[in-house]
Order: sequence, then C-alpha cells, then structure tokens
Amino acid sequence: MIWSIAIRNLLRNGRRSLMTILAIGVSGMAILLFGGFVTSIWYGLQTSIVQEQGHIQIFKRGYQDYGAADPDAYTMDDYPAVIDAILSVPAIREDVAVITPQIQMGGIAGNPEGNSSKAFIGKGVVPSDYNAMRTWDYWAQGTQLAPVPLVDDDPEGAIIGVGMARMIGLCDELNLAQCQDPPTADAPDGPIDEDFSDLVSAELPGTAQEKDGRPRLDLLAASSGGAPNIVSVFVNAAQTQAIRAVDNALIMLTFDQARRLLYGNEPRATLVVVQLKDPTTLSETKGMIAEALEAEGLDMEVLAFNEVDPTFNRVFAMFSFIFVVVSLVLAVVIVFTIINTVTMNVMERVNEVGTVRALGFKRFDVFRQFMAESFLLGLVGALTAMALGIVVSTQFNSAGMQWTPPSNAAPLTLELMVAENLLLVAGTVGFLTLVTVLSSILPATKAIRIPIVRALHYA
Amino acid sequence: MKSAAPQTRGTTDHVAEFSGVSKSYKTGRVKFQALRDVSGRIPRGCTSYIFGPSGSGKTTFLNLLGVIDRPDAGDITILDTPVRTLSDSAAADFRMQHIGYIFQNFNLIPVLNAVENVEYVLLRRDLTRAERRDRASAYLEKVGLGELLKRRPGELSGGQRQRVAVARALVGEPSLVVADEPTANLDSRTTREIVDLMRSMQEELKTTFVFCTHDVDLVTGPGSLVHIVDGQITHMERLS
Ligand SMILES: Nc1ncnc2c1ncn2[C@@H]1O[C@H](COP(=O)(O)OP(=O)(O)OP(=O)(O)O)[C@@H](O)[C@H]1O
Ligand SMILES: [Mg+2]
Repeated sequence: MIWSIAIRNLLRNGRRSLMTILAIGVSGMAILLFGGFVTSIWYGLQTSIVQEQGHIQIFKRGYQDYGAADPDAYTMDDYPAVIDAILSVPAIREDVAVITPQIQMGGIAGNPEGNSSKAFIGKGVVPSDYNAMRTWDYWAQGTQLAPVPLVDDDPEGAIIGVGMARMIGLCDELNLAQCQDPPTADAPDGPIDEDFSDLVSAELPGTAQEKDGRPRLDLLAASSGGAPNIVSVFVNAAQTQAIRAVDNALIMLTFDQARRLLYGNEPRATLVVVQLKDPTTLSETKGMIAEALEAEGLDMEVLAFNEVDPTFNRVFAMFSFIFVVVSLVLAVVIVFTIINTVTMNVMERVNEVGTVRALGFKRFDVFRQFMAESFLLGLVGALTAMALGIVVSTQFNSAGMQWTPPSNAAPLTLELMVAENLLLVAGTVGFLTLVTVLSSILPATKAIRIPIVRALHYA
Repeated sequence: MKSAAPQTRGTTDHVAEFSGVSKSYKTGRVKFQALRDVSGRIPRGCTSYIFGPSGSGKTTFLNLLGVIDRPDAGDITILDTPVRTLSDSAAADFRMQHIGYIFQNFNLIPVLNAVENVEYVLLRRDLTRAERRDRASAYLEKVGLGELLKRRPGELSGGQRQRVAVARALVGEPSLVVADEPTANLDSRTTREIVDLMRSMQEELKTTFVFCTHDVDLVTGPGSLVHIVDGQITHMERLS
C-alpha cells in the first residue's frame, strides 16, 4: 500500500510533481549530455592516439629514462626477434591488428638547393603498417586519419612538418600556402653549413637535386659506430603537426631509409609498435607481451599508449573534473528543488502524520512513506532525464559536428555518447534518485518530529 | 479509589485508571494547567462520556487516555499497562493493538478510498491482502457503507466520512475506542445517526467507548459520565 499511496499523493499534487520531475529531468539531461561529451572524448581521443601511436610500445629497457642522452645504447638490437616473440603467442597474435618497428632519431637536415640546414627530429616508419594503423576505428568513431603519402616501394620518400619546410626553405618548391621561405640574401653561411656541404658532396657524389619533381633533403646523423652518416630523402609533402615544436622539426621517412642511415644492415629499431584489434584487452595483452618477451630473454619495457604519452590521461582527467563539478552544481539545484517540494508535501500532511501515528504507526513508517514518495519522484525524474538525454543527444549527433580537442591535429566527430555509455546512464539515474531521496530526509524528519497531539491540531 | 491488585487484562472491571494525573501546556512563558491531580477509572465494556465546558481539559484527558500524549505527573494504567513509561515505539504498538480513534475532523487519508482507509490500520497485522480487504468491507457494511467502498473521502458526506472513521476505529478490534467530539462538525440529524451508530456498535461488540462532548443532549445511558471542569473531575456517575 505504501507505493500506491505514494503514487496517489504524487498525482494529487500533479502540477507540483510535474515541475519537480522536469527540474530533475532537465538537470539530469544536462549531466547526461555533458557526460556523453566526455565519453565521446574518451573514445575519440583514444582512437586518434591509437591511430597514430598504437596501443602498446616496446622499447629496450631504459629508453624512456635515458634514451634521449644515448639513443644508440637504448636501441633494440634485433627487432624481428621482438616481433617474433610476441607473435609466437597465439592469444596475442589473434588480437594484433598491426605490429611494426619504428625508429626515432635526431640529426641535421640540409637543403642542397637553398644551401641551408637545420636540426630535425626523424621518425622512421614502415609506410604500409603506419597507414594501416591510421584506419583503426574499433568504436566506429568515423574519424580515420588520412594515409600519409609514403609507400613501401619508395624508401627515399619523406614528409616533413610545414614549419620544417619553412625553415629549410622548401615552401616554394612544395607549393605551400601560407608559408614563406626565409629571407635568403643575408643568411650567413655558418661553419656547420660549410662542413655539411662538404660532407654531402663527399658522401653522395652526383645525387640528383630532385626526383619526380620532389625536392631533396640530405640527412646527417651519427650512426651506430659514432661515425657520421648521410642519406638523401625526397620530400613528398609537408604536413602540419599538432605540436609546433614537432612541426618545426619533423621529418618522417621510411623505416628502411632511417635504418640505412643509422644502422646500416643491422636489424635494429627504436621501438616496436603494437596496435590491437580489441582495445578492451589492452592491459591483459600488454601483460602477455611482457611475459612473452621475458620468456625469450629480451629485456624490454612494454608501455601502454597512455604511459608513453600522458596527454590522454590529462585531457580525460580535465574533462572528468569539469563533469564532476557540473554534476555537483546541478545536484545542488536538484537538492533545493526537492527540499522545496517535499517540504510542501510534508507540511500539507502534518495532520495526516498525526493521524496515522495516533492509529499506531511509528515515526519510521511515516518516514518511509515520505521516502517512497521521494524515491518515485526521483526515479521518474531520472528516467525523464534519461529519455531527454538520449533523444537530445541522438538529435545532436545526427548533425555530425566536428571539433579539435587540445593537443590533437585532426578534428574528432563531436558526438554526445549517451546511449552508448550504460555506466553513465545508469550512474546518472542512480545519482539523481539518490540525491532526491537524500534531499527529502530533512523535511520528512521535521514532520515526524512534531508531537502527535500538535500534529493533529495543525491547520 | 484504590486500584485492585494487578490482574490479567480483561478481568478487571475498568479499562483505564488515572491516579494523580496532571498536565500543563506552556505557551511562551505562560504555563497553563490543563489537568490537575486527576484520578478516576473508566469502566469496561460501556460508553463513558467525558463532559464539560469548552477549555475544561476534555481533549487533554482523552489524549492521555489514547496514549498519544504523556502526563507531567501521576500514573495512568490502561488495560493493566502502565503507559507513562512506554517508549515511543512501544506506545505506538500499544495504540495499534488496543486503541481505536475517532476524530472530530474525520481525519481520513484523502488519497485512499473508504475500504482502503479502513484496511490501512490492518497493514501491520498478520493478515493476507484478501483477509484485510474482507474484514474492512465487513466493517463498512456494519456502519452502513457497504455500497460506497470505493469512494474517496472527498466524495463522501461528513456523516459518511465519520462512518468510515468508526469502521476504521473498530476494524482492529481494539479494547478501547476514544472519540473526541466526533459529531462537532456534523449537523444535528447526522450527529444523532453517528451517536446511534456508535452506541449500537458498542452494544454489538462490547467495546469500551470514551466519547467527549460538551453537548449534554448526547449524554444518554446506559454508560457512565465523567464531568470535568477546570482541569478537574468534579463528579462521576453511572447512567442507566
Ligand atoms: N497545545 C496546547 N498549548 C497550550 N494550551 C493548550 C494546548 N492544548 C490545550 N490547551 C489549553 O488547555 C486547556 C484545556 O484544553 P482542552 O483542549 O483539553 O479543552 P477541551 O475541554 O477539549 O475544550 P473544547 O471543548 O473547546 O475542545 C484549554 O484552556 C486550552 O487552551
Ligand atoms: Mg477538545
């Protein structure tokens, strides 16, 4: 009977109940929509990072801490052995979408035409693997990255950052809009440049200035033995990078060419990148990979994408924090609305409280009745919030907007993933109901404290 | 009046005994003595009328008898239970089990229909839904509302509402029914009907009724009369 009384009392004050339900519903909808946005960030950002960097990166132990100072000492000596060790475990192999070696390096790039040179950050990738990774879209975010213009058949191809192009004087040659080569006239030829030109002409005699209309860059780096080595690459394109410092220095070249520059024919690589088919098994697979490598006596560190680069965690933590703050602010609104409603409901019924207590019901019975009514109010409000949240987010999503989160190069689809996040929906419904019930404790307690005799004479 | 040695419930000739009971109300700094040193017994199995002028302390007396209020001093024994020292929760259980109420303003639960209002007080009993419903319907039948089971209080006349209240007070088969001016909000004809109803129910069920009024016309035997003036019992008599 407690529930039927509760329902009837809510219907009796139909308008008041409705306004309260709407207040909970609209606040709850706001929580859900924002939560859906944060959810979308979680999926979208993770997708774009994984497309770029894979899920798991394997380095020779110590690379993260000391590799920058002595890259050669922390380069793995036999990357095929690492890949084999990983793929020899069937459970891992089944879940691997892409496994590919990469080389990270630094050196000096020279533009033979402009006779200018500049330090660069080099990234050597296997083009087909690298481009395969960029199509990963497990969560159907619909934001695949465009393939980079590198192919396996053309090991001398390269792409560079737009900032790099500008500084090294390739804007004109690459036909880049909003990019101007540095003023040439007074550029003093520093000692490096002279040495560099000499070196290049000594090492690479008679290399063509261009190939298929692509400008040439000469890359100088210290090889394994410590002796300087030089290779040439031909720039297919310049592409803007998200981080300016990277944009100003990046040269992405093929893994083969990078290896030729640094290691000759040795099977060495800076890291092996693993992209998984199913991201939900990440930590499990990561553990299995670490075990497999250890079993083979390979002393490697195995890192998840968010351990290599904390950006994901930071961005997600920031939005989660905002989400919590927004939810709490809205909870305060709900609390005041409920206290107001329940106080009215309760004060109208002080006489009834006195009556049922005189009939032999206990304070707790009355309290429970009020709680049941608030619970229903909260639940219906929460379900209203859920319905509103799902309908509005679906409408919004069909508009297909895009946005670029901080630290991202490519835009993500701006989606409010409400219906997709069961935990968010269930959590919000529970939260709203709980807040409603908790808010009515105070007014209900007030009502049951009134002595029976006084309650019976309450006007 | 000396109380007999404690006996089992139901064998004494009275349902309640007051001895030296006082009750005062404080309004701001002013203390008002509503009952002073009241002693007396309510006889079992008949109607007792608490009669007195307005403000004399009838309601106060009835509240103490109904165990919804506590005295400042003195002892009250109801059905051989010293009720003054009962905890809130024990007092509620006691009321639920032994006492029925009829209020001046009917005090039905507005969202429940007639039969649900009566059923409501059986919720704590060890009865099935159907048993509750049957018993409630039977009592509404007794008070002449067998046709109006599904009407909500708002759809009933004052007299009909008070009939529902009488059924509600009796359905739990209490030993004692207290009624504080149950006819004060009714016209004279309806008043008569309700008084007759209570009397006939009393005769049928042999329940003890305590009924306070300042309307001397309502005081008719058989039964007993307790006259209260200025917070004191001035005299008690048997009516026949
Ligand atoms: N809650 C209270 N606070 C202060 N004074 C009270 C309170 N209840 C009753 N009184 C006072 O106590 C006295 C007795 O009141 P009580 O209600 O018992 O009288 P009554 O005989 O029932 O009167 P009536 O016939 O008008 O109902 C009255 O003078 C009243 O003003
Ligand atoms: Mg009174």
